[in-house]
Amino acid sequence: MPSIHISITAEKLFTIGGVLPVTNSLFTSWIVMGLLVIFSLLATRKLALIPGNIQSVAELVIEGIYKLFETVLHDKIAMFFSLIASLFIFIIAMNWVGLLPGVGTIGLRMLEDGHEKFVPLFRAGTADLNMTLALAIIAVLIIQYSGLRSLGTSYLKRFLNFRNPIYFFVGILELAGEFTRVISFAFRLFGNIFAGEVLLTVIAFLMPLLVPLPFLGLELFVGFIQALVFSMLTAAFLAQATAPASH
Amino acid sequence: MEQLGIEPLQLLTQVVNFTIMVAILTRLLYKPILKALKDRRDKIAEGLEYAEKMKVEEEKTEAKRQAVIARANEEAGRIVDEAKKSAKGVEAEIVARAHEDGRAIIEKGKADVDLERIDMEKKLKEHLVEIAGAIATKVLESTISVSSHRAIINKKIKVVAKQLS
Repeated sequence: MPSIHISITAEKLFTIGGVLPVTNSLFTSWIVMGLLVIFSLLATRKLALIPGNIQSVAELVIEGIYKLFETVLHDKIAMFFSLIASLFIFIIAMNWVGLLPGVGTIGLRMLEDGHEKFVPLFRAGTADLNMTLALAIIAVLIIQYSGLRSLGTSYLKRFLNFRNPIYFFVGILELAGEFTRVISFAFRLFGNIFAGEVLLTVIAFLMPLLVPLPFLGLELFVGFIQALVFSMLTAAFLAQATAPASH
Repeated sequence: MEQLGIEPLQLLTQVVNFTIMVAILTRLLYKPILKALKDRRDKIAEGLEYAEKMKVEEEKTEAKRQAVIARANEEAGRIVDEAKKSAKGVEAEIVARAHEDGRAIIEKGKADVDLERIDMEKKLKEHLVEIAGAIATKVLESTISVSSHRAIINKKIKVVAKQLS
């Protein structure tokens, strides 16, 4: 009887130079990066005043993201647009690529601990904690750096405030909040995408015909929402960090 | 950490991946597209500004055109009035000349008719003398001799000639 393959960790496919292990999620991330680069080249190859199809799609996406996040970041949008747009585009592309047929099902039979094991060739990048944690660390580091750069040392007063015990305690909570942001960012995205993949795998295993379709639609929506949540929260925290403190 | 699959090297690789991705997308996608959007916005703004300027120009031109038309109409009205006045003068002159010419023609006609009448009367008298002479000759031929006849004729001719002169 066939069995379903579910692994919380990304599986190693091969090693580069005996140093860097390439997992299926890292491999899929590179493919997504390649696809995004190809799309960017095609979209901007012949920029015209009256845009062609690909340019129109690119303009629609970029302008949509710009206008959406402008409502959060206001005049700082130009400074943070690259980061926010990249987070949104990269995460949504990863999420949706994970829903393509073949991801999780096309794989290799590899020997591990003496017995043969099925290893999927592709895995959604965001279904790997390394990826989501990396994005969360980048986001939180940039938030802190932007806060320091915008407000100088007064930014640190949010965390270390000795005016009275209440402010001091609030500062400690704020500091703890900055660390928990990394965890919440990383696990929210990973949890939603990984859970979606597990759900689809189980449904497809139990009832392979037609039944997975509504769940596929749901996962498309979840993929979009998670990308939006991650980038929107980053934008909101950036706006908060770069605005003068209220206390 | 290991059970969740978190590995520092993988983490670092993903950080580098994303950083490269941001750099590539910024260079290849965001900057060109945002520039294209800005160029289009500028072009549209420029077009709208130009259209607005043209509208103002058009309004000015229309006002000028209306003024020119009004002036032309006024001028035309003045010219027509002058022409009418001038035409009335010419008309009166032509009518007067026509009356004068008519009178002259009538006068000349009358003079011609008089001359013709006199000529006709003269011709008629001559003709009458000839007829009277012929009648008298016929009558006398049947009643008198040639010698008396000739004497009577001559006498009569003298009488007629005296009457006519």
